[in-house]
Amino acid sequence: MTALNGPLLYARSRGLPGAIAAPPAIALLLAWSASRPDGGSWDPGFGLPMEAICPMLAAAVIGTSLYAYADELDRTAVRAWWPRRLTHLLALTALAATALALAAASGTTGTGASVMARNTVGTVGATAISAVLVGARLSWLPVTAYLGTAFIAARTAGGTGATVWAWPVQPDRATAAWVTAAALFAAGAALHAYRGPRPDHL
Amino acid sequence: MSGVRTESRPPAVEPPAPRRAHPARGELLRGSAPWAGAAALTGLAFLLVTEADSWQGSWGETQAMLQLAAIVIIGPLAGAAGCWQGQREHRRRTHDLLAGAVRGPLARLLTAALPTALWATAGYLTATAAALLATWPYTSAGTPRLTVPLTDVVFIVSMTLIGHVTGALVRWRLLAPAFAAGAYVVLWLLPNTARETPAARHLVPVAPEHLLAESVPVWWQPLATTGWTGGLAAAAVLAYTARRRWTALLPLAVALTAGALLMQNGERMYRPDPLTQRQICDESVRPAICVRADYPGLLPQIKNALTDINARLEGVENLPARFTDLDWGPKSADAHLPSLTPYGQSVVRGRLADPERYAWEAAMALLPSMDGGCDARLEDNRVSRIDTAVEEWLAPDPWEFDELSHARAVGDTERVASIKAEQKALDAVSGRLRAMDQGERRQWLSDYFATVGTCDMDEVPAL
Repeated sequence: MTALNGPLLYARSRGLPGAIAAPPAIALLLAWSASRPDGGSWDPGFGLPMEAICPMLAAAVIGTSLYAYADELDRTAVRAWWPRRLTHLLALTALAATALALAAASGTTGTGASVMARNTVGTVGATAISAVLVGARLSWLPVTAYLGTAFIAARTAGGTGATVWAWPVQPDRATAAWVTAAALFAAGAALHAYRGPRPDHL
Repeated sequence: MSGVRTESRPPAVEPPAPRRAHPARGELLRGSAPWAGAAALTGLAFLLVTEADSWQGSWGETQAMLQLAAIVIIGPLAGAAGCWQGQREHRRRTHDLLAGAVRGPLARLLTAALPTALWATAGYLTATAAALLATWPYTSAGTPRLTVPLTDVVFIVSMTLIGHVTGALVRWRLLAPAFAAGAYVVLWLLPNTARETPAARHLVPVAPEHLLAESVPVWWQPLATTGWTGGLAAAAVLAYTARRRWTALLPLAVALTAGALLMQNGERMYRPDPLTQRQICDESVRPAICVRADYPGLLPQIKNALTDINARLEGVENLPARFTDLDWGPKSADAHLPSLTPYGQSVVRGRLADPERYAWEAAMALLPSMDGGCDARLEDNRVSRIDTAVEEWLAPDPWEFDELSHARAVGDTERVASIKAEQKALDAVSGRLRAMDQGERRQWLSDYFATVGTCDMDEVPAL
């Protein structure tokens, strides 16, 4: 038994190879979409909301990777789990945010790299909170519902409140949107590190 | 009697048979179905609350908003939840075990899938009931249409079933969120791709924006929509579970026929709501005030907002006969009232949002049109000042841009001097109009309104 066995087993049990491969694949999709003159839209002037779809997919990958197949067994471990959970979430979030931001920066659409990074970080945070509340494998559900709703509701919404609840739709300069995304990630990372995902048998 | 005493045994008491709960009960109360219902209800409630100004008070707008939410938010969500539920046997690796179950594949699939559909539908119907109740106190005409929630429910159930079958067929772990993203893209974008796919947009069962609010679908439109979405779902379910798979061809044929019908007819499936074409008038003032028959409750408020204008025009000749807010076919003798739609701008929850602004816009409808092709009117300073003086006399613009302050702020001294000079000249013209006695002003205004349609500036009376 080598020292690497533990991390390798952890990576396998969480499906990390797939979770690591997915964000670059999503970034490629985004780069392809962003490189088109119409931004991947089917109708000029009506673009695909890639700044929501790509972070949502990346967050779904990261959220489902938080699932523990043998959580009863995990709880009997001698070592504390929170450093592993936190490292897991931070590493995948950094990978996804970087990959998507780079892909957004390469395109011709209005979606900026910083907006993509902000939305990825905030969406992963919201997904981590969902994982603690409803279970890791279903953690994409509340976030998907929220993003779909926010993008429709934000068409006409204005005011300070909208920069908070419609944070994924806000432009780069909206400070409140950055604060909300950061708060979501901090809350999600802290909750997940402390509690871990809710055991689910769905 | 033999003398043998026989003891009769007490009848054996059968232990009560264990109550067997229907398998659907467990599916209904546990698993992901309740979460899907909660997500649908929360998402819809969030949208309704944040956009309340734009629908609360109008049956049409309320139902249009609910339909948009049902198709674009709950549809992808229910499909993804169905997909997740359909993948359950893959996750539990019980696919082979269930192949030997007593119940057939169709019964098993419906037992597993319908609870998710029921929860999503329950979330939608709860939000629908709440939204209709919230709208009710602010409406003054019309009724909600029952066919709208019915077709929406069929769509939600169909999306769940299609998602379930997709999930049962494909093992991919991320299929459910990918299904949601894909469905969202198709359902949100297809209705907005009119330029490239004008016919295909009608396959998404959401009425074009503001069409549902002001139009009535023909009687067969809900049936065709139901046939299209329900037929596709039934075909998918039968193709996956039926012993005789060819039976899926029947609902598929229904779906394709209904889909072709929807694509061919397009917006012809909607006719204007009769209420939006009739008017209710108050003839007690001059000009008379007419509003659309779907907002009769606003007539007293509009009359109240226009009280000052009507008072100042009392006895003046050459005015339009009526203020009207019909969008089509107005008589040339009518002046257009500001539009009450789209709801949520001029009118919020059955009240005029800004009566002063409304009055100003109504007054502007009496004055010469600035885009009427008569440039001479704009270029003639004398007439232009007279037009502005009459506008200020009838109803000053509450949102008038303060050009003087802006010029001072940017330090444009030349512009400041020019604005001051113009303001002085305008004040002199306005002062003369105000200084007239009532009879003189009435006569002057009558002469003025007689020249509203002319491009000959010499005809405009001096002031």
